[in-house]
Amino acid sequence: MSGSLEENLYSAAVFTFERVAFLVPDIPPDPEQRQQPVEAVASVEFSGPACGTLQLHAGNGLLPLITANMVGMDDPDEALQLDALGELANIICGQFLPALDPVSAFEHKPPEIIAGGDFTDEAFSVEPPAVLSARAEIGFESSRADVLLFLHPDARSET
Amino acid sequence: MSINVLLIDDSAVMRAIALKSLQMSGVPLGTVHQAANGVDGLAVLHQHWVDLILLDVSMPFMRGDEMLEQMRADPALAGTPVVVVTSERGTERVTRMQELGAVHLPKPFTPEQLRDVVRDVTGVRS
Repeated sequence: MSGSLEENLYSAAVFTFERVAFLVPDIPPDPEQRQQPVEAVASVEFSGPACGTLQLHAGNGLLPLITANMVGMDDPDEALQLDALGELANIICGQFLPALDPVSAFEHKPPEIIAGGDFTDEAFSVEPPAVLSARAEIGFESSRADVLLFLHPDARSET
Repeated sequence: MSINVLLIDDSAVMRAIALKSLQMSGVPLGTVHQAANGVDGLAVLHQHWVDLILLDVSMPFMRGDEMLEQMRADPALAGTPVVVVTSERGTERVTRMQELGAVHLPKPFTPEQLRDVVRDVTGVRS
């Protein structure tokens, strides 16, 4: 896979949202979409030839939309919505990781979900030494999703 | 001939997607059982006849690779076809499961891809 980390992150995220959640993205998000506060975050840690964390931040109103599309159910409950967010993060991570190393295998942990908080990017950061290395901002209907890639500096220098 | 399927994934959403994909794929379905981990999956296998298992890898209580090891050691379950459904690629766990006879279907998958894999491992046509 060629291209910058950010291009590959966009590619993995767009492919996953289109294929799994049947949502067509707006890139970049419009001002109204950007205003939506983050409602929940799914975080996937990975290790292998590079180590880090991929986070999927879901804007207000996105969770019911993606879940309904993924499972074909109206009014999915909160547990199912958070489950859907975790699966999307997991799949985006699996799609993206070959961009870091197309040959070697990566292990990734089950997604961790944080919801019900008052999120800001600064408040939800990954512990050092991992640093924010790429970000994809995508609008969907009246909401948004941000995909953040945090890489361990040693691994980042290899990419 | 219809096939009985066991879906094993700790994500209810992924089980729902797999079920919907099976229904859309044209595969003749009998009973579709579901389990959230390897322990519950083995319990289903000891109670019901299953022709095909769609198996996640990373799950609480018992992972997919651990469950498959136990299946292959049990003569009653050793021959049941298994498709490993995961976003992991080329990891030791997935490789080990392939060595044990499982077929790898990466997430995300289309109903057509699922249909083709089911045909390959069961021999059942639509």
